[in-house]
Amino acid sequence: MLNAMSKTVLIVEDNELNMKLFRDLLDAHGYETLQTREGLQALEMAREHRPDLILMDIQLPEVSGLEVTKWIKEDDDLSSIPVIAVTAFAMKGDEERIRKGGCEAYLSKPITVSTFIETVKQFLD
Amino acid sequence: MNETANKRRPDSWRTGLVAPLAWAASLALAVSGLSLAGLLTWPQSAVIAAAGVAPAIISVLALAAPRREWAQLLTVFSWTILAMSAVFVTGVVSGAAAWFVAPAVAAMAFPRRALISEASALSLIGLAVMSAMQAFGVTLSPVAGVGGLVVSAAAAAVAVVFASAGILTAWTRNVTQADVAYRAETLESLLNAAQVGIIKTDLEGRIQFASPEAINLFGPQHFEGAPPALRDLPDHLDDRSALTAAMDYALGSGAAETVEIGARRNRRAEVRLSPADGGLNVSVIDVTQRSAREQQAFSDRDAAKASNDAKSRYLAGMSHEIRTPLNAVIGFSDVMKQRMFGPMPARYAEYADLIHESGRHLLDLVGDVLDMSKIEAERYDLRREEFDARDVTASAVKLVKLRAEDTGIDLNVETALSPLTVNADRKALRQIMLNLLSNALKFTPKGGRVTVTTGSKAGDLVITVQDTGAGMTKEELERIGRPYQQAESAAGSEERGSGLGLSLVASLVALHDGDFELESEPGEGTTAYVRLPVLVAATAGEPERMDARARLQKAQEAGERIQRAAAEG
Repeated sequence: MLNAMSKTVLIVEDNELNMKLFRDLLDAHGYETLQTREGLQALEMAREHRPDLILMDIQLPEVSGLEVTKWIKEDDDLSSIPVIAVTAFAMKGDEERIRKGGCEAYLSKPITVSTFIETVKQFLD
Repeated sequence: MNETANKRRPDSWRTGLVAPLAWAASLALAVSGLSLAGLLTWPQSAVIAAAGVAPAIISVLALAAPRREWAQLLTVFSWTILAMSAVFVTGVVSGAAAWFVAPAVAAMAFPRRALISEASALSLIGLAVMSAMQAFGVTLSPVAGVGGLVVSAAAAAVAVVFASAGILTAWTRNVTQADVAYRAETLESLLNAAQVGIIKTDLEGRIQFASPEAINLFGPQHFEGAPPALRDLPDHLDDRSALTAAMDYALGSGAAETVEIGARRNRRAEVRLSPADGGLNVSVIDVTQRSAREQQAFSDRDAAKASNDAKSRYLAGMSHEIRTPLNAVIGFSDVMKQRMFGPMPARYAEYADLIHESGRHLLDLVGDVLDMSKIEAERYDLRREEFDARDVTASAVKLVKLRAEDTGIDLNVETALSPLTVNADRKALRQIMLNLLSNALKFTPKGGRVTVTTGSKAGDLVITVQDTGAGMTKEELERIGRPYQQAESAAGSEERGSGLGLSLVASLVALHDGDFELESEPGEGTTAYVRLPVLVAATAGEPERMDARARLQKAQEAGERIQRAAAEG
């Protein structure tokens, strides 16, 4: 796990318990985490810390995660950072909409721990 | 234009009046002539005149009530009596026979044609009676001799002339007019009683006739002056243009056209326009109540739909809200299940597994509710793609296999050997399969058997899931497919689903234009049939597929042959 120590994941999630779950899971697999529950702050943190991956909740209190993803993808400095959408939006066509919005991957809530870890690793290892 | 309608007396009254008056005049003339000539004494003349005029007066009076039977009979009788009296007075039946035409002539003044034949019959009876009396020598002739003969001859002549004239005029004018008048009166009384208004217009739509109901429906004020145009009857402009358009259509196409418009005082009228010679025949019905009921039904339906949509949106929103905490329940218990942070006491580990399992179960239930609400809100869009239906069966079976093993149920799978390429929503098909399977497993006791077949029949994909479970009563079967009414079987398993499983299957099958049927009896197990018209042509066009069981057997034989070959080789 030491080889992953340098990797940082930015978690954008407004639900505290889910935030804790994601953070603990990533911690357990040796990743650094940055956390925010707010879309605008997520953009700022992405600019400041240049994380290796962003876990983006789509339903955020003020700005939608899709909107934030769009800003990130439009920003030349940030567009290379992969974004994994994590959402409880399990409606038909949601996955397509989210992928079109620029997210590299999509995880639906509730997550399966193994799938979650695999998906994250796919972008970091 | 309703001038005729308001006139109560028929035309026959006028002509009916002329005949008796003419009779009275000619009688008076004849009697006075005979008296002046000294052939009759003045008292004789007076009696004859009085007797002769009496039926005429009765006729005139009776004509005031031309439809009353007593008036008709009274008239006919009075003329018959006069005829008989005349025969008596003259004492000669043969010469006075002409008198018996009088009742029939009198009858012509009345609008009932049958009366004429009745009067004629009456006259014949009178004539027969008089002839019989004469044959037996019973005669009475107060005016005997030359005077009597002259009176008889004169009276007969007058009667014949009068009768001929009467018959001629009656047949050409009186009777026809009376008949027409009678029909007109019948029509009028029908129109007065009818709840249908009748209007007749010319080709320009100007009203030529309007029945009372029509006048009442659109308001009498329209009909006070000159005949109005039909298109001007509605008060509102859009009703007028709707009516005008319908009139143009009816006159242009020659086909009847119906339009609903507003009439006076918020009443609604259904107007049917039938093209006729020289204009339109229009019938008008007051549909205010019907229209109100329709409006009510529409708004009830809209309200029900709105409330149902609100419910569906609420359910969709709610199941989303439920997913968020479930993520924590399932996620953390999953972490514990995987012992990610090291071992823990066995009992806690078991609890963690239970929490995880329950969380998953809850998630499935929420998924059912969400899918059902999406289907109900008509927001479930099928995402069709081509795939092999056998893969879906295999993956669904894989998911429930462990459960079947755990509960000691024999899960028997029969699948077609050649690919079943379908164009369908993979997720929906998987859900159909899973729901049918878990339902069958849920209600099948330990040691039972669940058989699932996937094949094709007549170009359609056919899936059956048969179990040896508790079965269902007729009432329970009827509730299937009605969401939110879970069939409760007494012998059912303790495990309960959302109750939406089979409703979902029914809905998802319906979305694919397929058929879903359940065959079941309590204690006899249940068989679910699903037929989906989703096979793509290549597969559907294959020669008639053999029975799944036969194929399975063939496959086993083939397998054995291969094994043998391998062994021999």
